[in-house]
Amino acid sequence: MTKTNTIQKSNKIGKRSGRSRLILLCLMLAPAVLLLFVFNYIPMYGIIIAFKDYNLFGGVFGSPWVGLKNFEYFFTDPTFWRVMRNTITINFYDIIFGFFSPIIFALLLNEISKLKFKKAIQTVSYMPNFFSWVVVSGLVLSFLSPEQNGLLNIFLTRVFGIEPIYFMAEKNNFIRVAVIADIWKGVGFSSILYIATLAGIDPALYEASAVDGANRLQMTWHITLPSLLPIISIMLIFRVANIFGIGFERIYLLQNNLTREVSEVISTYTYSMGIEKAMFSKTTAIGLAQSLLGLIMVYSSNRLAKKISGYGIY
Amino acid sequence: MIQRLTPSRVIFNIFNYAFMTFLAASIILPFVNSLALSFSDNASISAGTVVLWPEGFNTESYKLIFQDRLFTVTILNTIFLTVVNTLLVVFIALLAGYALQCKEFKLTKLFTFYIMIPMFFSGGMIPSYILISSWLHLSNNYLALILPAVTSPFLIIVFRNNIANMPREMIESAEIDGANDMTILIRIVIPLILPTVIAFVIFNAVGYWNEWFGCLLYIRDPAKFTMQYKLRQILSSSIIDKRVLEWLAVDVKDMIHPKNIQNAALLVTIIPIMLIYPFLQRYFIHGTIAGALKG
Repeated sequence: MTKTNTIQKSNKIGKRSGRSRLILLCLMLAPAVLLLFVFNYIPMYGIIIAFKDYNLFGGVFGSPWVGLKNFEYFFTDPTFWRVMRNTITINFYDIIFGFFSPIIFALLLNEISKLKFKKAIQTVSYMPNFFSWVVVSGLVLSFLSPEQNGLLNIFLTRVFGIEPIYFMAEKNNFIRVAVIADIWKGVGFSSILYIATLAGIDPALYEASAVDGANRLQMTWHITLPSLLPIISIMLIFRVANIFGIGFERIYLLQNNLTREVSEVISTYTYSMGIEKAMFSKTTAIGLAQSLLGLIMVYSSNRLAKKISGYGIY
Repeated sequence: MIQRLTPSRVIFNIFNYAFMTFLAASIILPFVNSLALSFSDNASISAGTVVLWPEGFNTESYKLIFQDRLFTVTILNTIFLTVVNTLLVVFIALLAGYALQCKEFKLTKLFTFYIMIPMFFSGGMIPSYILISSWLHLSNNYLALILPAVTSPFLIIVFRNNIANMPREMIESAEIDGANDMTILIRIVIPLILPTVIAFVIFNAVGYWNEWFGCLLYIRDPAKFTMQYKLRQILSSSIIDKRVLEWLAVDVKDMIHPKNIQNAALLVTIIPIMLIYPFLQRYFIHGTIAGALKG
């Protein structure tokens, strides 16, 4: 009797298909599902205010419908087009310089044969990634500062004897500074993925090509780069897909009124129009357009990458 | 690999080592400069002679910010938020990740889809802001910085894939011993994927430690500011007055150079990261790869 009981019991648990198990699994999913519902899905529903004229009394439900008026408003607004152009311009330079620099960094680091030196460079270069944009922008602004203590101006004054320059007052410098700061912060850390991929390449390939008389450049071109191609194309898809989005913190913390003409991007514009000036409906419309363009970009760049290299994210 | 030292190779090596040294210097020197400024006295900073070594060495600025309640309270706030958020985000993701990889669980596909959609589409800044501030009335409340931030679809998917790739025999033998899913997760799964879990504990902890944007959106009460928000306030004010640091304004405003306080505050916020960095380095390579290749 006892024995049959045990067998029955273990069978039941062995199959693990009881209702209590289902309840337990649902409970394990519940926190994530509920929080996503409240803080991600409800805001998606909130997008309807892009088609309304949101006011505090009416709220999301009571405010009157206005159709596409909010979209018309910003599509005909020259400020919006300037902001759009800034966003794409900064992203363009971020991709040209910021995306490829970790790859070049990984390739160069791979050529360093002194292991201790290599380790030290890795340790130092990964570090800025862990500091906030508040810290990094603080360091950057103080580095470029025209006051007595800006390192760059100290250098320029002492070596070339020129007057201190107020770099951040010049709007042409903004994009350069933003792009370089981003590279400075992220180049080491972003290269980890490529360094790990490089470490996984079969050394026999290099040995075989050495026997065939290939030089280093040929090895890089014919072995190293093709091995990196899948991961590069996947990362590039994610990067290009994000061309209409730009991190708020970097831009907001580096910009000032003198450079706003070139530094205002969609996220900082949404913040200043939407939250500071409470134009909720118009900025939600911008957000929706941005999200939809982002989706189209993910889809099409994935298609393109699959066609060209055979690798995609789905 | 055999390296033949051709002339072009030698030139390349010189260039390469020089470039790497330059890069490392560009990262280290600003911090050395910041360190020097934080320990220098007012006269030397005003004269502009401080570069990489403190002049008129003193530790006044550190004493001042640690005595200032407006600053110290933000340290405690940030520690609190970092601990709570990190524990929650990792635990919620482990629970969900485990449930999603159970093959016997019929709703897996549906829930995976549900969890992944927010990775590709979002309502944007304003609808979230309206939800949190006008509907839920969470302005000036830490729930506004905790609740929206503790579910990470990315982390859930990473854990799901990590758990699904574990050897099945261990889970199955625990099942036969009568363990339920919660026990299996805590006693078997977590110890086995511990390096990945630790990596993401570190990543998320650093992220919350650096929290600034949420505070900008939702927190108005200076007693509830996060450290980064306070730091930004200190860094962006050319004259540090009573609204920024209470104690300073009253007693020693004229004796302390703003740069002195600013750099001390900046270093105080990054010292904890510097301290865990050596420990961190062992894990984050693991984490990046677990996240990128399996996520």
